[in-house]
Amino acid sequence: MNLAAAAPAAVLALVAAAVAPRTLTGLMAASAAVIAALRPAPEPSPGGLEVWTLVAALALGLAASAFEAAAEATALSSRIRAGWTAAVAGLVWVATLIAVDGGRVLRWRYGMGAGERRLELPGAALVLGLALLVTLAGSLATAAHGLARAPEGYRAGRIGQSLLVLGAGLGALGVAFAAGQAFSRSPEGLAAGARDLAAMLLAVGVLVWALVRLIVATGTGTGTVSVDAVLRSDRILRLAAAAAMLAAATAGAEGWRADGTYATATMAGSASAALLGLVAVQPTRLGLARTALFVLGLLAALSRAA
Amino acid sequence: MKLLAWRGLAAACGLLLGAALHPALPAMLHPPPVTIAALALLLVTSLLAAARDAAGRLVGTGALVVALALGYDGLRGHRGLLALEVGQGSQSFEEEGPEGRSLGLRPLGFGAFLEHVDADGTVALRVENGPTIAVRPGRAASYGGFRLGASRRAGSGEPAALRLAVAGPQGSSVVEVRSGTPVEADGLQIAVEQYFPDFALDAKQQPYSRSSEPRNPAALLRVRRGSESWRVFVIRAMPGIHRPAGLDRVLSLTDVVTTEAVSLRVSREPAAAAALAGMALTALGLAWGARPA
Repeated sequence: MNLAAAAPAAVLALVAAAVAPRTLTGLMAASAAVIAALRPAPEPSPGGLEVWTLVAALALGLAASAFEAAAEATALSSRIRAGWTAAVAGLVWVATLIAVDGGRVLRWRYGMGAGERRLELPGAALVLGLALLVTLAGSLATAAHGLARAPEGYRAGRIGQSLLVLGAGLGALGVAFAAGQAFSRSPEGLAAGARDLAAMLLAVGVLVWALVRLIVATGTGTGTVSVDAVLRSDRILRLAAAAAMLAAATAGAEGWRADGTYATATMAGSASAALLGLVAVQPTRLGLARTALFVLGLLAALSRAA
Repeated sequence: MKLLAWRGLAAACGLLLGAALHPALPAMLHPPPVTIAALALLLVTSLLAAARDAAGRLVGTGALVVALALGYDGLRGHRGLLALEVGQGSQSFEEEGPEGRSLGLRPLGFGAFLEHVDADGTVALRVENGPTIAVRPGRAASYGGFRLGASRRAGSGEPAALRLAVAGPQGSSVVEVRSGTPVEADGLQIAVEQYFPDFALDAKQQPYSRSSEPRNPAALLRVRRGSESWRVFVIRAMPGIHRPAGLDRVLSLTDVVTTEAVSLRVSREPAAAAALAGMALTALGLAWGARPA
């Protein structure tokens, strides 16, 4: 088993199940589990298990939970914001599709691995390419609806929402199709593309979550923001920032012990994520965007280690 | 003062600093150290100025300790590499600057000799008039105020020598030929013209090396006798495959003699403990601020 990926996945699952149960944290735990299950175990690190990844996974789980709670609160307070959340989630899904496999989806190609062992999946490429186009159109239509401040039920909003639902469905189908085809044809290729699959699973999961929030907000009308929920989300975010800072310190100590210096690339990556945590907890504007950046920073630091 | 206490300033400085420190940032976008120092100073000042409670002051103090420690290590610390072959010694190491560029040789303050390298990668380094230090993979060692770690075997692909068998009418002999140093054997002068550690032919039938590991070693030799000259191709997998016209000797590559060499990371970071303690203090402040009011 790939212990370097399995241990953070277990921590994320623990956070999702017991500490701060939220959909996003569960999705991240599932994505990390996909990498742990599919990717071959790397050569064991001479310094043993890297503890900083566990602390960073704890920070990620808490930060994702805080982000979801904050987004939920703002989405319930305004249908327009729920629409914006869905549009951004759609763009995240589009960006993920552009990033995976070196952007080949843009040329209607998708595959796993490289060189002689590369596995081409033309069927999955078609489905993922369609998902990209449909989701992009849906995000733009939803964003246009938001910018126009049009009333609920306006055509652009309805079309955008429908396209986003279709994009999410096609995306889920494409991911399942790619995994199924790769599993039957080349388990080695599947292992090589595990990180891409995990990223797509996470992104399409985020889109589905945002769409559910949008539909709930549309159905229930203007809700009220629970002050307790906001305070709780703020506390969890502070704990996440503290854990991220501790993860950076741990990475530094591990680098000093193993390599003789704390100035390692791992330490730089985790310190960068910790700084984003410090940024996220500042009581000023664009809180949700700063929290999203913090989550992305932690994801980037952990994915480099996996 | 009001501007310094504005939370937006702390957020903006933290964001820029986080981006500047990220290892994935392209080298051309790396800001100069003075910009990073200014951002760090602004962030710390803003955190301290905006602190309303003990938790906030703890975060600011922790950030201040980290900034001071990193600044001190930046000015007074040294980082670099020490490359040694077995039996070789050195009293200095190649110092590296912030962007990894070479700053020249810096004295270690003691002489260090590479005694041997174990199979598990453990490096035995003997200090002149001192003890023998064991630098294990994943476990750095301390000596003379320096940390020595991350030992790795040097894999340049350049062998110390090629061992050749020269067979002729009077029998056969074995010679070791070093790159750039021709040797005399059985009336021939033999020099290495080109070496391929992992020989292969590309689509145009041109020779190249697939890797720097000596998996399929081969070489092109320049052989001279008087005014005559030949180019002889030798490959370990097929001894004596190439017999040029006019040469009454058969040359075969029997082995590649490699030297054990390692590259050690050398660091002097006097404020390392303070930097890590400052981060822990900041984490404590953040966690304290999360307690219910």
